Amino acid sequence: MMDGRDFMKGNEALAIGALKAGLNAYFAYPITPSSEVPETLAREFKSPEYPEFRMFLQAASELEAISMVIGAASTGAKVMTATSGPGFSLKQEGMSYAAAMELPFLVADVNRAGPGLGNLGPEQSDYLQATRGGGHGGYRNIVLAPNSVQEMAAFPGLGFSLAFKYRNPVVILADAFLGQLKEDIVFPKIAPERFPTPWAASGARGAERHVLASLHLDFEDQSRHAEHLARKYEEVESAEQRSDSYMASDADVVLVAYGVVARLCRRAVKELRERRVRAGLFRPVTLSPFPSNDLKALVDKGVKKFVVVELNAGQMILDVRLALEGRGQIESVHKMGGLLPAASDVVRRVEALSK
Amino acid sequence: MKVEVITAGQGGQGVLELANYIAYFEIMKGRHAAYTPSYGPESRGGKVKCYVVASDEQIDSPIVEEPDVLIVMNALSMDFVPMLKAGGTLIFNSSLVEQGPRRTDIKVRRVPATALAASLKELGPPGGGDTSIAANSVMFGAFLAVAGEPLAGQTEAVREVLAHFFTERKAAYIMLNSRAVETGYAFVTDHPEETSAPRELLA
Repeated sequence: MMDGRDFMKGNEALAIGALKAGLNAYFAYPITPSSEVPETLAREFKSPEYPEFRMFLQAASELEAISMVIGAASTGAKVMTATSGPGFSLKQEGMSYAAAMELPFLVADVNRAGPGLGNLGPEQSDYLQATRGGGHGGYRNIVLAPNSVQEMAAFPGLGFSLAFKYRNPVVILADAFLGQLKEDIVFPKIAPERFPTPWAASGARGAERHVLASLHLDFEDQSRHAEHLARKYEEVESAEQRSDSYMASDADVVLVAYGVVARLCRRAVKELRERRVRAGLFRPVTLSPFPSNDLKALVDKGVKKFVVVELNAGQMILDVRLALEGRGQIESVHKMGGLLPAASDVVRRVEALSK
Repeated sequence: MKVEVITAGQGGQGVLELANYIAYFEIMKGRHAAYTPSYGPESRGGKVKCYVVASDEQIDSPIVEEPDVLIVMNALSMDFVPMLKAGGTLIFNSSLVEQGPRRTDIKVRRVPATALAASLKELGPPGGGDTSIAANSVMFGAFLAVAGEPLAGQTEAVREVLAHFFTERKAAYIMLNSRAVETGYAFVTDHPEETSAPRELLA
């Protein structure tokens, strides 16, 4: 496009966004509806535009792909993989090891309907799995929730900077709709960020020996490590909450939604305002840490009703309840199976509630 | 200015490409556009629909609930007619759809897109060949006419849209498709719009 805009799918934007953020290695095991991510990266491999993109490898399974990610991330490289529900489950064991080893990398989960194989439509049913750390042992992922193709392009950069800052896996939690949605976007012209990696196993002759392991057989040692991780998650919790809000500060009722659902809720808010319902929108950008502080601030401003709209039977609503600590009335609107609620349905529900 | 469109048909009719042309054209006009394909596990033979939202402002929801324009390529996809906004425009492929809509509160454009595309044989592959595949480009032209886009002076813009999607070996088909766009545009301009129930229902 002559004016510097591009027109592409969310999945393609995620891939190009990662390249522009300086991606070094991608380990692929394609699964619908995320397959355009590896497709795009395979196409761009060896492109002179991305000299830092040095490895693209198709694994034989998701387990193999996440293990390759662990290996490459151990060297301090910028590494990514992408998947969807069933594949994300298979990667959980590796993510637990990576959390223990404190490895920075990106995993995109383009959420499809589940459980099981489900179907290829959008859902937000991996919310708890992603935000709680879906593998064994007590760990947390940092989870980012884009709501547009523009954010699909931008979040790999943000994701790498959080991953390296905290030495922690970062999940980009999208959904089938965002993966397949095409929009006009602008890639910011910025040089990839460089991160110091004094902990990395560089393999260089004569370099200091660095052991990256998840095994701590000594109880005292494991206890110290677990406490260290817990402190880190607390630090992330206090420093990295991110959210967006729209017409929320003077609202009587606030819709809480993330991802593509937040887009249709923004439309619903406009329609509600036209019908003289003082509605607003609160959109978590980080799902983990959940932006509790900003949400709590809305109750302090006098918001009394919250309607949580999500593509699952009620998962984020648990975090909303925790954040609001019993204050405010909290209702749920949901849709599952690959379908989205209509903005008009949300409008009707909110109108009924505000009478 | 905001326009919401649904394109619908069966796999292989270029329904998604048609939506792509519309979205890309709108972006070239300086607007924002969102395009959402939705299809099942089958990429051919099933029912395919696609949303396009184009707007001067940032787009809130990419989901189309009440389209301003509905473009229907086959009979099965007339199922989408109830979604159309009152006063909206239905453009349907009258080569493949015999029965017009029952609604009387919409504008109707019947365009024999498959037949018009098939008539462009001389621009098809050497040695002759079926050009009805360009029916989606005929509908792109019909859309431009319905949207009130003056085609004069836009030939380059249309060609640029097509060139974006017909790359490498497919570039050979740009000529056929740009002629198909002009054909669809001319057909709509030359035929009056129907605002009440179509003839066969009144008879």
